[in-house]
Amino acid sequence: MRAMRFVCGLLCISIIPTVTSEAAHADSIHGGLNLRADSGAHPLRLVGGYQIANQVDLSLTVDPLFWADGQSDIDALVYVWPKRFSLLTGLRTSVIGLGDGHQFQHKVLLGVGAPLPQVGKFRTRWSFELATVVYRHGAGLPAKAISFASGRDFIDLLNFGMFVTVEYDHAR
Amino acid sequence: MRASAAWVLLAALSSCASQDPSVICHNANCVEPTDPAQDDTPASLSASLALRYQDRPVLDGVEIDLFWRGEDDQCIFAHDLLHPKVLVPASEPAAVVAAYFATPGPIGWHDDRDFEVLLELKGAVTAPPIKQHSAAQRVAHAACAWQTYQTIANAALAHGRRIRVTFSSFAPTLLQAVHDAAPTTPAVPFRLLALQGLNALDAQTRGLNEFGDLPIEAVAFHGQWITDTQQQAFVTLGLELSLYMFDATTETFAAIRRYRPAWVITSEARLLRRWVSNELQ
Repeated sequence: MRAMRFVCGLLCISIIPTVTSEAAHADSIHGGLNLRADSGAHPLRLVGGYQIANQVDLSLTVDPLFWADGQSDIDALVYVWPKRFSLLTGLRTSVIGLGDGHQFQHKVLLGVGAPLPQVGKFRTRWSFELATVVYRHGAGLPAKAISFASGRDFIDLLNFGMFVTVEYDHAR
Repeated sequence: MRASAAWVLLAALSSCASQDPSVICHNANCVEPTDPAQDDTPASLSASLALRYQDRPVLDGVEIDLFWRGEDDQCIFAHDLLHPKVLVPASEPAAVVAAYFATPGPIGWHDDRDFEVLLELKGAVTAPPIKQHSAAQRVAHAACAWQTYQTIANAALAHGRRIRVTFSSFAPTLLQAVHDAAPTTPAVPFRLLALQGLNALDAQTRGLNEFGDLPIEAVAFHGQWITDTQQQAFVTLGLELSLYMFDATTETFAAIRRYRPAWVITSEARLLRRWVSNELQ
């Protein structure tokens, strides 16, 4: 019951300001850095996207550090109600270099985001994610989808992470 | 003086950089795709030992789980009693490893390292709700582990193989029983390893202080379940670090880079071997 009240509270915080004071906000394009301290992906990646009013934000994150260790993590993310506490969902594909091939790990991302203070034209956002590896294939190794047959089958495939984006925001 | 110190530092750094972790087969079952239901079976052990990459054995060693089944006091090759399967006596995996030593050619990836046999003594004697060993069962379980050691050691000596046996457990009392039963002149080198899980959530994990005066030389922990403080404590105590894992993700690889373990105990041996080889290039 308390959890339900908490979720309702979060939704109210998100929805009410969106549908009242900022309903007429313009679309914007944005681009900048995706920064993280955990090991879910490289610490610095490039992000760019498009925000439709204040309802939905679509972004793509690419990984320029693939040359450092042969690993690359590409995110396609959707934020719903991006100007407030927002719901985050998306996909991440991690490409892992194995010398004579690459393994691809496809992850489903679920989480929340929240805006941090905007500095001039630069906007910042904090995000918390649950990344679940749902399918792995490539490099001549057998493909495998996630299984929930036992804890051992999935415990390593679920990982939490946090990141911050710092982006130049250009309203259209 | 400064120049020589710099050379020493450089040499130390370069030796660190070149030390790739040994790939150890988790639960005698590390053929992809991972299937925990096949853990600790003679078939999975044979298939794992047969893995090859670049015409060499993929593995540097293998883990064998020894479970003391309390209901009939049998020492079996098993991870637990949860999954119904044909129950295999502990002598069978020892015979599989012994037969492997008799095959021609190298038995491990590295020519300059001992082949590692990791014997894990499970801390329960029943399926959940778990019961732990009686004093007599601990002694018998330790004797079983030494019998397994002896079978494998005899085969190694007979075929000129360099090996090391590591006895591991979450339970300090079981390692104490192993230590107490150690032969005065061991046939091949052996040591003790403490397994560490999630301290707060995992009922079987015991703090290192509970291992008392046992000569623990190494610890194995999950790379995603440990704090830097714990890892630093292990390093400060002079313990060799090993990581265990089930499925490799980017977080697993980051943990290997971060902690630089001597071993990675993995269920995905070919993936790990290729990743480690790629890291060295």
